[in-house]
Amino acid sequence: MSEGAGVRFQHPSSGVDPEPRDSDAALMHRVVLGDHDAFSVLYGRVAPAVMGIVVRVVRDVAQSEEVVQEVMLQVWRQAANFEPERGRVRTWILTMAHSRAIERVRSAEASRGRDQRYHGLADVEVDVVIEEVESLLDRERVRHALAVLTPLQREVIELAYYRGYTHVQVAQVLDIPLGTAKTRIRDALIRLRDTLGATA
Amino acid sequence: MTDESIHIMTGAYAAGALDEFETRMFETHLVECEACRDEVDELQATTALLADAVAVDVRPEVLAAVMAELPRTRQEPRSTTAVETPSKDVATARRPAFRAAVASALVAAAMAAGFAGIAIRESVNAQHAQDHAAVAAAVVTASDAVTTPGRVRDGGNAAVVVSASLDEAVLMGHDLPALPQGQVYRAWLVMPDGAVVAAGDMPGEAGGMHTMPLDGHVNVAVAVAMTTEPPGGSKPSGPYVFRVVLDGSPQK
Repeated sequence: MSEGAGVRFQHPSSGVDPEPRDSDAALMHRVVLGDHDAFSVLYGRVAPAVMGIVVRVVRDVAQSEEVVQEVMLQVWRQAANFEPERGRVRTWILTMAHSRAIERVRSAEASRGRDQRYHGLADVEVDVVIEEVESLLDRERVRHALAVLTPLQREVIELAYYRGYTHVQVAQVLDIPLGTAKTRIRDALIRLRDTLGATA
Repeated sequence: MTDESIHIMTGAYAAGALDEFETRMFETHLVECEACRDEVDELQATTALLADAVAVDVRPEVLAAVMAELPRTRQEPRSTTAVETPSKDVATARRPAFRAAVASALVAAAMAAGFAGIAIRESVNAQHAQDHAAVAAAVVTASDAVTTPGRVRDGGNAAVVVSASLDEAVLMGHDLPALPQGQVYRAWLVMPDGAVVAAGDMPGEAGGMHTMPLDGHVNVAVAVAMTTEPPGGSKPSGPYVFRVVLDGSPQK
């Protein structure tokens, strides 16, 4: 497992306080073996971002908490299927979280009538308390990177990723051709990737 | 051209902006396209940072609820169907490279067309389209799916994807010529005794990609054919414009 060496401040302590400086990948190894402590440490690291993206898409705190539970239990169940060569643990979990959130809103949409959601689109910003001082630096980096995008690119990221619209819905809302929506989403993500130096 | 078109889907896939059916189709493409797979990995790493940027506090009760579930939540063994190792039944996949190429081209075409046919039907009848997409996705991603392609007489391509374990088939048409107003492409299952059974209609409008699960039990059929028809009618009124036999060999 090659992810972050991160053993510098490893706690020599026992039991209840599992090594907080372990890498995510090392924790995953232990999770696969059924280690509850490792799982709770991993939870602590990813849950704020999981909740963050889920509540953005689902827009309801109680429902989002349910989705967070589902996602984390999926991590527990499917830990053995994590493929380190395809990316970081964090990416794996946050990708699942986004998919689950989307499943939740799309099934709600389907039972409610499809057009409702993007007609009532007024800018409802989710009011969230930002914690996790640790990751503030990352947050600033990402916000800076978002600022580098063109307004049109930011718009598709907001609609597609943060709100969970399909590319067809994005095209409808923005009144642009389907092909343009797809291209714009990809261009925006590539620009973000290059700005942030994100590698798998 | 179509190859470029499918490459642009990496972004929509990583952003979660494909519907369920498109997602399955694109994952079929990912199995055989390393370039797209690498790009998806990078773009998903990027979207994960977008999630980090909106991290929020989670009530401690959520962790407590999750931890309480762990003892009764079974951990699954490592799955054998990872993306890198598509679980193809080697015995049924004759000429796999050729089929993979055709399937890939069809998927690319479908992506390029933005699933126009499905999108249209969806607005008319969301439930129907969902069932339809679910069946189509199940067939296309079945581990025993076998794709049999063929040319359509007056232009365009079609292919039949059969999953024997599901006893279901999907007909995909790409760039079929437009038919006169009111006419449709009708699919037929050809039985061993030569009898034919109507298996569904595809719209006669020009271009794009149309995907349709076939009615009836494909496992008892020996071939799938297509004619152009006015709506209704239980016998082919003219010659086949497309026909493939289901042992896997394409035919005109």
